[in-house]
Amino acid sequence: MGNGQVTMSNIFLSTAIITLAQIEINCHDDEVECGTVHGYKPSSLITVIGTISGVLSVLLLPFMGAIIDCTNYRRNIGIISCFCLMLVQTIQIGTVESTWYPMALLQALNGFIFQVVNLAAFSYLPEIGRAVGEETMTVYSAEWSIVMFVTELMYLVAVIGGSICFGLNDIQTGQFGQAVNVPASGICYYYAWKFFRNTGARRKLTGRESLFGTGFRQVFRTASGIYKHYGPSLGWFLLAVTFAEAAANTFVLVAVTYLKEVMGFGSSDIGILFFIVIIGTIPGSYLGKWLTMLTSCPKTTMKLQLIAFIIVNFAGFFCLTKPEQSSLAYVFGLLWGVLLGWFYPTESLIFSMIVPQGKMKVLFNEKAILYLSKLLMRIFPLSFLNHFVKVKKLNSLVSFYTARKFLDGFRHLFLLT
Amino acid sequence: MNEQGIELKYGGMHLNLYLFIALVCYHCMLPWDQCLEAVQWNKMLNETDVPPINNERDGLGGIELDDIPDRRGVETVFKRDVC
Repeated sequence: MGNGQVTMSNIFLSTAIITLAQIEINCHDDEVECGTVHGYKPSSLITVIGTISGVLSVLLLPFMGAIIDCTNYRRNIGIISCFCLMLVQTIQIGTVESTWYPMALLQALNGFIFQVVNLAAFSYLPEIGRAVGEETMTVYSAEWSIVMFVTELMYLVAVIGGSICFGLNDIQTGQFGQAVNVPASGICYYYAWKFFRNTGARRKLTGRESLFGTGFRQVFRTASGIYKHYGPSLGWFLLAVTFAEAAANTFVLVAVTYLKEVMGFGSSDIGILFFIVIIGTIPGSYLGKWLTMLTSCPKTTMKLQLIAFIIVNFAGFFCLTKPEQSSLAYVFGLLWGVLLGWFYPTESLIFSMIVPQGKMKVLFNEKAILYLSKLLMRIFPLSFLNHFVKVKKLNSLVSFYTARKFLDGFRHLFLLT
Repeated sequence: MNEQGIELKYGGMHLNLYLFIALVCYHCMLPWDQCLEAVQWNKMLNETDVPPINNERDGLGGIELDDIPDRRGVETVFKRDVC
């Protein structure tokens, strides 16, 4: 439940950071062309933040995963990461003109901590699944998704409502968003970790194994096993997920910057648009279900979804070029919502159907691969966006070359093992 | 792209490249019914979790996993039900 508010609060904070960066270089007015601040255009900041947190996650998450898996500190990791997340969120309430840059750096760290929170929480799922049985677990999963969805909507209504009622500007809305987020998500995290119990290590390390190497090795072992035994089915699917998720996840980051920079949207306008996007996911899910039943093949449904996504994406970014077209942006917001609602459940359905039957442990490893692949590819388009023509810029925190190396490594993991 | 002054809309459109590659990957997957057939038996479970088969008591040893054609084969080798 807490994750929903944290995710949504990023929208308001991102808008505030872009605005503050523009104010620092006096290009907040529409007519003025923006220069650079700390080496980047204000419009690049959100994607740079996403890139940094993506790299941090890819480098350190397998290590955190190994601690969770091979030591008795799983609950401690969860509690500490939640505390750190809440601490960062609380500090970010103070995002003002003099503090925006450290807050932007904190936002990159925030992305990584958020992944650790998720990792620690998800690590309990196989055990919960075994304890309550598959059917109950399916019901629980559906209920958790609905609750998270509802809390996201409630949070958006509260912040947008507050912003409109009190006449807040972008910066104040960002602060207000964080202020609402801290107690709302904090209480959820508190109760979550109160009920998660301390459990022993799932696996003991042998004398020669290190915590740092184990996580990577496990992912590599599972990936090569998938390639060897299920290459034409699960292997291609995971590769497809890697690229599709890259586009879908990055879309949100790009959309915030695009709406702010090109369409001239303020915080509350962007919030309303994302509210419409979330509402659009409901008919999207039903559309996906109906098409899957019609075609009797989720793979075909997914291919249709991707074709539709490409067409709508192209039309959206081609048509939405001026602030006067704001009403058209809401229409595209609804369409994007429908597409995302169609995309995620269909992908999950395919995953659940083509994962080999067997012990939850193996299933979990495959989920780890899926998770890592999403993170890896999240870096790539962001880096592409910022650094494609700028490879030689050595002071870049994350270069295109680094991202390409990650991609190469990942491709080899699948295709050459 | 953005830093070089290329319009942001092309940044948004370039995401289509990833969606297209995903589409190609889905296209390369086996037909759906064959995908479902392929995962009926968990081959990875045997490779990663079951120790090497060296069943001396029943006179069976040095059996390669590739020699076992299916689930029934595993049951035969171990002479017991496999869950």
